[in-house]
Amino acid sequence: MKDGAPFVLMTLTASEHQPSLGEAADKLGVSLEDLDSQFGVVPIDPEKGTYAVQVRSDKAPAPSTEPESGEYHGPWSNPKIAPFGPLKR
Amino acid sequence: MRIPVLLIVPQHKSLQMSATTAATKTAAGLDTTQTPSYPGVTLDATFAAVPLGARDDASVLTMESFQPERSAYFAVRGHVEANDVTEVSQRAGDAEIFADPRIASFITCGGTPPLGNAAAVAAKLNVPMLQGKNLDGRKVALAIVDTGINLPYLTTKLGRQPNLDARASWSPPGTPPPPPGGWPVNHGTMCAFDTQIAAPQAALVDFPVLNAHYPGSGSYMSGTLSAALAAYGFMLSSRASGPLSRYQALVASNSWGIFHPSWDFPAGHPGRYCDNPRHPFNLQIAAVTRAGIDVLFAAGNCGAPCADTRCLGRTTGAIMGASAVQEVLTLAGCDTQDVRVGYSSQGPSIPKMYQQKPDVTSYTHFLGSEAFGAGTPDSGTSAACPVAAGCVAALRSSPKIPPATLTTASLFNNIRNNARKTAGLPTGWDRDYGFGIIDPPAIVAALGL
Repeated sequence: MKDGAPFVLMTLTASEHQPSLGEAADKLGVSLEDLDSQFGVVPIDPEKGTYAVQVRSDKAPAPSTEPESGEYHGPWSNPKIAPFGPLKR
Repeated sequence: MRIPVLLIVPQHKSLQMSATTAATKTAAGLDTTQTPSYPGVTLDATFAAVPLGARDDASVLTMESFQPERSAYFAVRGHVEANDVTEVSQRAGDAEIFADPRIASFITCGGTPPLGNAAAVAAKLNVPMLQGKNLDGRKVALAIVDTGINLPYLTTKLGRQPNLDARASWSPPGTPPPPPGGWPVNHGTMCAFDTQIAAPQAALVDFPVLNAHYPGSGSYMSGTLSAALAAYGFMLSSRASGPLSRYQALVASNSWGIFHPSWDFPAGHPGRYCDNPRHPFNLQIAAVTRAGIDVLFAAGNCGAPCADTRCLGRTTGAIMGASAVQEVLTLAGCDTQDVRVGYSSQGPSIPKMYQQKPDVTSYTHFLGSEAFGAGTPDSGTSAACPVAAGCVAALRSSPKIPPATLTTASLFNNIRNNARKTAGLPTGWDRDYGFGIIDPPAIVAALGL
């Protein structure tokens, strides 16, 4: 991550194989450095060729969440999650 | 209609005899043929008279005054036929009439002490029967998607070292984490313990998503959803061709979620999670189950009347996100007396998600891991979920039902269809219990295991 900018969650489609981080960057129209390399390219539904990446929020492409539009979708919510039970503080 | 009442009546020899007998014989009743009659009231012959002492004068209420032979007044039970309670008189002859209302046990809430223990849960699930058939989780991997497991603590509490597959476990990237099984004792260790009740031979795999620290993610002990997304991506790949592929089956237990929609994007945002079947995590979880991984989620702790404070008082549509995905098995919680715990989230789910959640109910609020201190219960739907996940792992250890033969959807349908109904539950789905309480022996019988 550069400059403390948070990441946003995006998805992309790639029908032939799981894309590399560089290929994902190309599909999103961003540079490789704008993607979260620790998160990587995460399979969502490999049968349908859907994958997730995290993109710097200040470099993210224009929002796209319509189901049939384009090669990428997002930003998607990445909410805080917590256990459904007690916790040691 | 028949209205139950209590009568306070003056002493009589038959009442003294009834009370004297009741002091030594629990099945004692009342000889109504020898007892004075009270107009309009039918006495209950099964209810022994109860001495009340010298009722009118508190200054003479001594222990002796409650002896049957000395008591001036007695309580007896009966009923009145009336159209409405307002028609019931205050007196019947020389008896005073009082209400005998239905009472119920106090509901289990967050601060309630444990009710029963892990052995009681094992008995409710008939674990000995499962183990007699070698249905104990062998050859099955059981992923604890949580805060991480502490293996030494688990070993101490179980009195044996459970199986942990470190190589198949997931480690969050970023700051160097502890090794699998080396996390501080916390919620994840409780969940791991609870799976062991029904699946002591399962191989635990550690998925500490709630301790992942991606840049821009949440605070300590409250990760963000992207960590779970990354973990399930790893799980999918590993199940296909990595260390998880060597197991006969894979079960994933998830005792986490979001407590309130305010944690999410605003309502109507197309990228929102909690009520959006198209959110990538909800799509991923559906794909994971189609890949033959049995995924269970806790329903949440936003049930009335004892919702977690983080629910901010919101108790309807409280089952959200992945807990409301049709393909997962969603767990409500009950105590070891089969009574729903008062914090267990109730259905139907948040609008736009699959509505008939929870699917089934499992056991919680029992003395188990004591991960939060001596005498503290394993609580929340957090405990109910891994208890059920252990049952699923136990069932999957049968060579007769590998996922290739019996899909996750089919197995979960079987679990729903064979859930046990408690008294008073309707046929079909119920908002508190789903289709009923998980009943492994019934599933074993239905599947011919």
